[in-house]
Amino acid sequence: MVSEKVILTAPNGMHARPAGELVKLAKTLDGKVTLATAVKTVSATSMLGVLSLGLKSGAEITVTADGGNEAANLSAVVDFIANITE
Amino acid sequence: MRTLQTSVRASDAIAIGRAFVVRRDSATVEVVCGSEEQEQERFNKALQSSTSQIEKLSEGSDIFAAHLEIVQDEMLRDAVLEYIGSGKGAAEACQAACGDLVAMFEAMDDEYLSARADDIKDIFARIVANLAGGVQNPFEGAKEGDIIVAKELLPSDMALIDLGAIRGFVTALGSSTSHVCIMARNYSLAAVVGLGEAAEQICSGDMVIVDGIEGRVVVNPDDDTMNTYLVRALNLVTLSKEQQAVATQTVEYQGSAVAVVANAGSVEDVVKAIESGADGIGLFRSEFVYLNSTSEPTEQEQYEVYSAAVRACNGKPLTIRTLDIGGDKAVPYLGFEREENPFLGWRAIRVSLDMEQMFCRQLRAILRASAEGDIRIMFPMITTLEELAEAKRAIEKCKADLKTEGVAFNENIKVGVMIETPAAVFIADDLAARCDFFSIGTNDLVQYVMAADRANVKVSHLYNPYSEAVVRAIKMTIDSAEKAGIECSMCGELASDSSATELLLKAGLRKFSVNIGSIAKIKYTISKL
Repeated sequence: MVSEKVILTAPNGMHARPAGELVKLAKTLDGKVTLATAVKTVSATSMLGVLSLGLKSGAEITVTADGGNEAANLSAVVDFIANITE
Repeated sequence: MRTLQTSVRASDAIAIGRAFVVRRDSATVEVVCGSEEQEQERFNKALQSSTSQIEKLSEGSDIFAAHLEIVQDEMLRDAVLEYIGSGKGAAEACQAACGDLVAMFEAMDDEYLSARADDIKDIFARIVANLAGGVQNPFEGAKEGDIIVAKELLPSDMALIDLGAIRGFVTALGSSTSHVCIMARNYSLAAVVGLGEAAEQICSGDMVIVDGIEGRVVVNPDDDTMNTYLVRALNLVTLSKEQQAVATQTVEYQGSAVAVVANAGSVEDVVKAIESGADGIGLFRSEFVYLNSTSEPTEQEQYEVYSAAVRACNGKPLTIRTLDIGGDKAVPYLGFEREENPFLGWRAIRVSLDMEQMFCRQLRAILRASAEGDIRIMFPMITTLEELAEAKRAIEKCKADLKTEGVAFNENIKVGVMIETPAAVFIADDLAARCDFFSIGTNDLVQYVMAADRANVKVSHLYNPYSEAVVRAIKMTIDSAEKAGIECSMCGELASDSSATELLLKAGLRKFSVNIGSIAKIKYTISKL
């Protein structure tokens, strides 16, 4: 199991479209990936879960990859989040 | 007579009709409580039926496509199973889980996300109905000309209502962004939403006036009020009928034909535009093909989209704009970096010319589809003659390759440029000598000419398409096109603004590429001049 913290810099926060793309991406990975804030932890493959975090610009997210190619899965999700710009 | 008032402007229509009141009690949910395994089984079955029902509805519907995503979401399922595990029956567990999720989304201070609460309620209502043995249609019995009155109308309700028969909606809940309002606007129906408890005073069979413009409902109006509203409603209908009547005709100005084509962002848009009377598609935004994908779409995938779009045009022209995105949009596989100034950065044709192989895949897809109809290629954000030359060389290379491969395409495909930068305006005469048509993109042109961002309230007053500088830029472009004998159209929002139509015609514009909803309005405006 590996974890990394990432800051969401997207000016509009995690709204539906990037969240949908993130979920799509997470579903293609070969292991479990979760996103956590100080309040709760959700699966990256759940659209409701990701949206329910209510992530605003500047939010700190802990991404954890468990199983499969953990390092690659982790960096895929972290990179995706870090590069959301809309 | 009673007048109920809201401050919500829901739609631009007025309707008069009999109320058909839909009352739904959540208390009709039967509480069957078998063993934990039995209840799990019941829930799983209901979830399965719901999923397959939504799957059928989701073809061609964004709303139900979103529902499909949610109904298959593991979080929804886990939330219900947890309540079943704590001893609740399946229906009760669904209600509890629904309450939790709805509360969570409603609490978000984001209009889009709090509106998702509606979708969740809708989906759970379906699951619970399936638990109880099937989905009923609460609108059975509504007659032609009726006004539907309900506490709340959810997206799936709208799929059950015959929108061609009823005249309007009144709901206790909802805001101007609710699905019911979007549908009302799309179907030109009257709607008043967010009336609160006052909506409960309306009984089935009451005569009601629904004034979507003022956000007012008049129940059992007196004769004077009725007469006033009959005249108002008639005027609205006459105007819209007159507009609709010219929508499918060709229009002219001072003896020369004027084309009113449409802007489209998907194949569905193309279908709708042609149905609405568009003389073709003046701007097909190819971005959606790229944005809806997590990896670059293949040549074949793109070809299929363009081919479907040109076939939907029924022989009318389809102008495809090549990829027009930049650092302000997140397209993970394009490797955009954060830019200080994305609108002056790496975007549109600049990206395409740098990513030669990707550009060629798009051009090949367009060329292949050009064998099936009148397709034209348009390049966005051209600022130099070299860019146009380079882009045209790319087309020639793709043509040569396709020829070698024996693939059919239109050898004489027309190639044009968007005029949306001051640079393009200044060299418009040279560009006109080297391409087949212009399209003036006023949204960007105004922003670049005036150096003002319209989203910035402190300077948005400068973002004015009627500014002298912008008007001159438009005139210069039209004149250059005319001198070179090439076609010039306009695809920015100014083209859809009927108060600018006459000015643009006088400046020499003969092709307007407008929003689908403005086709009838612009054709009508031209026909009246």
